[in-house]
Amino acid sequence: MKKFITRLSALVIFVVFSITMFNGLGGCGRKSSLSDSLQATLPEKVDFNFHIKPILSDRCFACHGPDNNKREANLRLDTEEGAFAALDSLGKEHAIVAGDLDESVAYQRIITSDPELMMPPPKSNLKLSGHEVALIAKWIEQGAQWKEHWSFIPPANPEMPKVQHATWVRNPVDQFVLSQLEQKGLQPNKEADKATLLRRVSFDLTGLPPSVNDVNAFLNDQSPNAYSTAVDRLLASPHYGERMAAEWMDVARYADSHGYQDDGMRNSWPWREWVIKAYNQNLPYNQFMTWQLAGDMLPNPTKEQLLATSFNRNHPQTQEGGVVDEEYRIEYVADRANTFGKAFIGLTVECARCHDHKYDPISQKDYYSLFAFFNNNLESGIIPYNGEASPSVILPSPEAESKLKFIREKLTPIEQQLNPENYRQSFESWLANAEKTPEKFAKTDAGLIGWFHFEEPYSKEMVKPKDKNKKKPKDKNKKVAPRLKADEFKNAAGTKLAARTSGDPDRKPVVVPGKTGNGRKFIGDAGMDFTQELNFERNQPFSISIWVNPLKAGEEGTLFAKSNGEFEGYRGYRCLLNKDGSLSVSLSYVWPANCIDLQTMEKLTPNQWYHIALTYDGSSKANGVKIFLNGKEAARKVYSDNLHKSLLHGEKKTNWSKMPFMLGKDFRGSIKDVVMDELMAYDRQLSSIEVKEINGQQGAILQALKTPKTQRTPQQTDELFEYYRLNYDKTYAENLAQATKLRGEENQLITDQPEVMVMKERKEVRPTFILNRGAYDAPTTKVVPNTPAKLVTFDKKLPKNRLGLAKWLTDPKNPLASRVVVNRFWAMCFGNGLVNTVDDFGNQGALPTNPALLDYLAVHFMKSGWDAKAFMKMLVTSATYRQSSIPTKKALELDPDNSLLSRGPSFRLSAEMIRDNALAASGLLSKKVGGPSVYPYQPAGIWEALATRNKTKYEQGHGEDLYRRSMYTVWKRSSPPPSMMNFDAPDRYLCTVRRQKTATPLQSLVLMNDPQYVEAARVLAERMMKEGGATPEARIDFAYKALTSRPPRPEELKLMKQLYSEELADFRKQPNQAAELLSTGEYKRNPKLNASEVAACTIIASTVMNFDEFVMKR
Amino acid sequence: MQDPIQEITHQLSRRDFLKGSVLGLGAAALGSMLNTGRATAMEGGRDLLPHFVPKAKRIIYLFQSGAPSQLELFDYKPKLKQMFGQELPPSVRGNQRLTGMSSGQRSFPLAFGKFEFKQHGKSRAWVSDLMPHHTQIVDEVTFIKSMYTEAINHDPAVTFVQTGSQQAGRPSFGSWVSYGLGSDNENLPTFCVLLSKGRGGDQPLYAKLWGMDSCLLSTRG
Repeated sequence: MKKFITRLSALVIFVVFSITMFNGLGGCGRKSSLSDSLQATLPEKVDFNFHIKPILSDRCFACHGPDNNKREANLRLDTEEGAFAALDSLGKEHAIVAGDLDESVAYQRIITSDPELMMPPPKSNLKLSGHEVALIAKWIEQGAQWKEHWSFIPPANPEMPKVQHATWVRNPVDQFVLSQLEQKGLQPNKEADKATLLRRVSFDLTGLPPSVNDVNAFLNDQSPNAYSTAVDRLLASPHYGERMAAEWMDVARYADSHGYQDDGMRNSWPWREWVIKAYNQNLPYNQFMTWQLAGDMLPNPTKEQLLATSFNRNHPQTQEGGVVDEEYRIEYVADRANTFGKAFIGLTVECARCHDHKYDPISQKDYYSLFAFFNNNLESGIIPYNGEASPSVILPSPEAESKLKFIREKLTPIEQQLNPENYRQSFESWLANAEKTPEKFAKTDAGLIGWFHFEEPYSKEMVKPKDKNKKKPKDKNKKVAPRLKADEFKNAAGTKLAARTSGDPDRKPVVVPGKTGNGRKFIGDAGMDFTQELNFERNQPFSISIWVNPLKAGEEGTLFAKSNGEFEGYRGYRCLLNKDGSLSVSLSYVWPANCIDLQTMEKLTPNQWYHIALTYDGSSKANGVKIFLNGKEAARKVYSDNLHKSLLHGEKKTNWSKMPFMLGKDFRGSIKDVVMDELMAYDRQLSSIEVKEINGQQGAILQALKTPKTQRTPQQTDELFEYYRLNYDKTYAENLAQATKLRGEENQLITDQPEVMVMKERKEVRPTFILNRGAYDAPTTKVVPNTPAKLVTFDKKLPKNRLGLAKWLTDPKNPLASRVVVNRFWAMCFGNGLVNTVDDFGNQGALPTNPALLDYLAVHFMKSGWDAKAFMKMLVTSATYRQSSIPTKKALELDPDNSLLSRGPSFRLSAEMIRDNALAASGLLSKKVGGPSVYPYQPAGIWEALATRNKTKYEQGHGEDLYRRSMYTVWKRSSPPPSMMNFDAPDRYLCTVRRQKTATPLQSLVLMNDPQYVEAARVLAERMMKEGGATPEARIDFAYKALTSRPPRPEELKLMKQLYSEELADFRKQPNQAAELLSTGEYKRNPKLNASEVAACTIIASTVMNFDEFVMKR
Repeated sequence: MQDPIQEITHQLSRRDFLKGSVLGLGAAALGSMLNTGRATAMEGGRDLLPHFVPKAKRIIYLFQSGAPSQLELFDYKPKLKQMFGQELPPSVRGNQRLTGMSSGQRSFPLAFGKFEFKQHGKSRAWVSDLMPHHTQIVDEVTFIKSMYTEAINHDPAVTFVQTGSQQAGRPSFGSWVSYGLGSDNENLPTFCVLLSKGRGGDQPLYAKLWGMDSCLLSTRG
């Protein structure tokens, strides 16, 4: 306690003392409870939002705030109702009583010296300064007026403030800024010199420095429109889109890899390209946000609108085989909700994932209601190694697109010809014929490629397992215990297809009575593997049937599957028994979106034999898949009908895992307590009457044929018709063969086309629950999609989905979206936002430094039709922006952090800009816009050292790829580019709106030694000689102009000349060193230039790159 | 109020030290920071005081990914040997979640490593034959057998072991050590991470483990 007191400033002691004294005197006539000296430091009118709320939020809300579960003494100070409510049942005590300090218990508890009563409690380590206590006192005295949190009040178009120095004002921005400056007795700064200004605005609008020619042209342009012309040129440049997109990449946590342990690569660059394009085409910002949030839900969405939703898929995703699916799916959904909060409404909603928010009015229920909007994506928690994670959009190359169109044009008429109705007539004539000799026409064995009776005995023979690592020398000490011999099964169809038990030999399926003769009971951890003959592609019709007897309710697992497992998105086909007894059948490229996914309504009852038959017609449509239970087609739910790629392999015929057809087990799991018997496999589609035929109703065909026509049921006729069509009609067979061929071609082509992860809603809305402590396995109360209760109401007319959310967000009544955007744009030009915490507009965030200006900008931006280009133009053409960044002495004193904007912006360039600056100055920079990520220079072995699997090698690019803009440098989350990390680039795991700003010696080491910069310096050196001139002065002059956009000052020139002559002399003496320096990087050097001179110029260029003005925007 | 130094000394048991290893190291390390005279009292915060005379000057932390299991090295479980092949009793498994790797398994037999254990040194520590050199120094080593992670997958578990939290983004061991120990060199990173070379593709470490978001960049590896 002693320590605590000594820590308090003398001022506080004085306040406490004077107030307690007053209390002692009886507490009447409270007018002058504060000392005069303290009074002087207080604002005339204390504002709740600006003066009081920040104190309450920071020091009181942890115990008396929005968190329902952690609230002490049932007192909440975050709501007006709570703050003025009676503290006791009698209604005598109140925390705050307007105008009455004596009766305001909260205040009394703040000023007491009794550690038992003191607020905040000493053990909380929180305390109030004297000034803060005085503010609270004055606020209560002035009537304790409560206000809604500033950012939740819709921005009103503020009145233009009056200013004295009106000639300085170029646009409304200046009016607001100047008014504030004048109130503080400050003058705006003089305009920055032209070269500085052009450099500043070039970086701000394009992320690139002006070229030497640009600078010269601008300096020579004496017209009053010179600057505005330059701004228009920059805004029209395709690099404008790159600059704006580069900033969005942090917010959108863009990366080229999935993150987490296995960190494989993803194909997301088309989304990045879309962002660039959207900015360049000036897509209205409300649409920019809407497309990204819910482009897939717009009416007839275009490919671009689908692609835009990849924004919601940029979060890390796990490929680690051992994860619990749902645990990670929840992480992804949470990430989307959190990113929505930070990026669009400037609120740290993520705090409310585990408990009510401590500071902002976001309850845990609010959080999960927001979460619910993002919870209905058709996705899986574990994503594949091979193939993009579902759901995705396929983006064929233009060439492939035209080929696909060509195939489709040929295929469509053939598919139309496959329509059964086309074969009615020929059926009639066949039927007439078949009725005569029915026995000849009642066969089902065509296309039968496998028939297993499983009559073989269970072998108890022990054998030594085969050594799988034949290449490795045998470990003599290693004793391999003999294990049970695998059972092999006879294929009665007489084809090559073979089967044997596999998995744990001790647990191989045992012999029990089957449907006929012996059957096999699966006891878990083992099953049967088959050879490759059952690897069907999606254009290939096939049928599988088996007898199954589940012995226990609740058993689940794979009955049969030809599936490559989790690591390939369950690629292939599989038939699962679900816990509830229903069956799931899927044919997948990457489950659960690029697939056909069905579930039967009927459920299997334990201890009954079921004949399960799966037939498929090769159409890649859910309609083409039939599930028969005991000969009857089963009703089913369709979860997905969207199979568009191969059932066998990924792009370019790649595989990560390739599994055979299996019974009773799959890639990793297995089933137990199920008996199976009589597997039959066909490489054609069985008709329903044939299914009956093989499920024990032998003679069904014969019987139907023998039944006189007039006595046949319509069902019998239909079945015969189908049977005929699939087995006897030559035209149908020809058409099917033709379709199969074309479908195969289409499949090969489209499987090779790139995909991008996007959003796609599940057909059945997935329910959302509040998760206790945020844990996936602790659901409590069910919630529906909704926005936080304290924010603008979510209109009942809006759909309760992402599209509704986007509409809510971009509604002019919503006070947050526009404010958050304009503030970010402002920060891009001015270094800091008008709200310094660009990512937090909540109670713990900063207050706007110029609230009227922020409101003006927010309203103006919406009124302009969310026109980002016009907005950026307004900012950079303002007199405020054009000020010199060199502060006057008075400005430094009264406006040390430039929050009043008494001068122009000055801050370090971003990681991307610094590298791009070096590349641009050297002339190496590639101006290509968009495209896949590139692999520029990087220290050797970095990826290798940090990779577990998947993309483990960094294969450095060559030529133009080395000189693309930094935003195209490949971003692998587990191993991001170190030269960018050194300049404060975030790691892109989470949405980052504000980068840290540091200055460390490592940055200089990068600039001096990174091959990218050394190479840029030596290439610039050649330009210094060729374009600069013959003299050292001319060369140095060129280097300065190229790297810092201005000529050197005399003292700089003097120093540089000295350096140049020293270096030149050294290099002449040691030509080897010059040669070594000039061999950095892959760009070919000009052999005609003198090596020592180029080397000396390289040193000059490199030195200037380590110069403050190279890395700073002034 | 008591003397805060005493209070801390009483409060911090060895268990606390290990449990909050990061804070423990920080506090331990702060001592040497104080000794070098570089420490300044943290404004507004409770003074962090070491609870014993600090000796640590630097810390070497080895993360042996892919090492043999403790059941084969130093955590002798004779009961496992006895129950070899039997199903894991529900009383032991409790509510333990299964990873995707094992959730497909239909039986969970107990297994025991095939290596012999003997007791060594004055401490009579159990060490397996796999570590013959360790048997000579058991009295110099502290074996901790109570560590576990709640995470059941590599990524969050490794993140936990490296940062004390399974959520990515917290400061790592190295950050805390250098935050606590300080550094005589103000110009270069305060700690560095050495990665083992060798067979590629088995390194479950990621740059995020030492290039953290929520820590001072000056204590980044």
